Amino acid sequence: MPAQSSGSLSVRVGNTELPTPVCVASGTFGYGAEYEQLIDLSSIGALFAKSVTRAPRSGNATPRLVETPSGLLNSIGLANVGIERYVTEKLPLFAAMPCPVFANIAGESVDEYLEIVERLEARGEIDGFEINLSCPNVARGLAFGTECAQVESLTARLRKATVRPLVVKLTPNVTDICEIARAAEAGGADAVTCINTLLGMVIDTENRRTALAAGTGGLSGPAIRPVGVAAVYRVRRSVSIPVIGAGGIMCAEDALQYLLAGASAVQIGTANFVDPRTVARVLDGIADYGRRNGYGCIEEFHLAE
Amino acid sequence: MPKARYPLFSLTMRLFIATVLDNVRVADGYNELAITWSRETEPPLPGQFATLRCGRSTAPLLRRPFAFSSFDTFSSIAKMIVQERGPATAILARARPGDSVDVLGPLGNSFPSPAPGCTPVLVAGGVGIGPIVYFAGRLARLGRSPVCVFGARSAGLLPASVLARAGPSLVICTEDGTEGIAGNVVAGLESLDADVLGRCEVYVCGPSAMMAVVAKFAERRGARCWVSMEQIMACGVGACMGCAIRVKSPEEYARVCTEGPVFDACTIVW
Repeated sequence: MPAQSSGSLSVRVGNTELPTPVCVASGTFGYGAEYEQLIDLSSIGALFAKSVTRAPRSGNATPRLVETPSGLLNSIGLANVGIERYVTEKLPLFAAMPCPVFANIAGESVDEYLEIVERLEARGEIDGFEINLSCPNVARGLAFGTECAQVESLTARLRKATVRPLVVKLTPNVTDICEIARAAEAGGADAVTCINTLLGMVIDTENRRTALAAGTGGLSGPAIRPVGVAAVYRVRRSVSIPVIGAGGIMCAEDALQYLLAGASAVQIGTANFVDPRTVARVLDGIADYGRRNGYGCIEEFHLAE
Repeated sequence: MPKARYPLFSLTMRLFIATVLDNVRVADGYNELAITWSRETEPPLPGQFATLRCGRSTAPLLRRPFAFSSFDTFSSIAKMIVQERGPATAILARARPGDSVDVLGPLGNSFPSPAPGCTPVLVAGGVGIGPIVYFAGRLARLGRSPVCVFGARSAGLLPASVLARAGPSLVICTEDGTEGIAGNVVAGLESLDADVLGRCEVYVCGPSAMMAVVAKFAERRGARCWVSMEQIMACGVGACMGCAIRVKSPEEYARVCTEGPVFDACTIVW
């Protein structure tokens, strides 16, 4: 549930105000409770919760993780309890969160996305939705996120099902992320998140097999930051809706690159694993930079068109 | 660190900066690191682990997990055995007294007490010797008289100073015969008295293949067996689902950092 906004660094997404521009990325923060002993959750702009699917998913075969140069390759495979247990077990956790909570939704069909949104729309524990069109770790995961007409029509269907903020998370594994962003905007999205993980692979040459049991995985971490910053820079100049920047943010300096590129908020992901203090440091650094430059709101951070 | 204001679980982990007190080479490629343990944090139990930040750069990136090999409540000093496996552990191997280290812990579950009347039989190899020795010390102080069976490829890989804490009932096995019984830990187990093996509870920590054969050995004798599993980790707190291992449950997978690292061997899919 949202706390009071902290003045000029709050961010409007749809009909909801995020108290701060520093959020945590889906898949890296579980359902929030796992980190509550380590992080002051009231300072988070929004918790983007672990993806939920209609049916429970056990996840991919292991190993699911391998470190890469300044990066992390994962193939978790959308392991989650499924919508039924999400409603009974996770929504009560969200109710106790002092920050806004966005449900991240993944599906293999329009009906699946719609069913989940409709189910959660009726509940008060969810403040908004982030639509995952782009997880590289499921069999047909890229199907939705790479085709404009499908993105627009799915977004439009979901738009009708919710008055809450509807954020579409974009995959960089496309030829032109800007046209996908425009499709999401045309479908009625309130914001887009740039970016999800990059498709990647590591091969274990000693054992002559892929390092991840599932083969390919999603690359995150500092190595992908320039890809994310470029995506935000270009997408912001393609749409009018807010852009949430994500990808490799480890410190305030990284987050500022995203804000200057045109992001209205950022998500911290892999950095939470490395140093759970990252959210606090990034928030302090953004506030400090804003004060030094005399900025009154997030939009003033953006570089001129 | 801010105190939790919304305690939903009774987790006891903390994130804090510790000071390195000592970093001693205990065997070829193995160090034992001693650090100050925050007095505002739960004392770590045998079987539990902490994740350490290795260096301050983005490469290596992830924290690495290390099980506790010792904890002294009075001095609040924790020890962990670090095996040099790659760039991250190489950094820790160079840590010197006075250095700071970023610690997250204690994490995971701990070795459960043996059932009444059962002799605890503790088996270890490699970095598994650390948590098992810690447990052996605990059990000895509780009057449970643990029997230890430790294995290594060769004598040079055995951490003598750590083994000294394993208690009087210690069987050593080396594959090349340079110390103790020539063979693997199963040879060591078979050398134990029949009355020990007849009513025992087995605990094992070490390479996966070793744990699998020990689990089978225990199963054949109808003895309960606990294993301490290892898996590459990202968050260490149960949020990312990265450290999962395959288990015989409806969920099919369990997290080494949260449901483990200690598991009943009969649940493991080897």
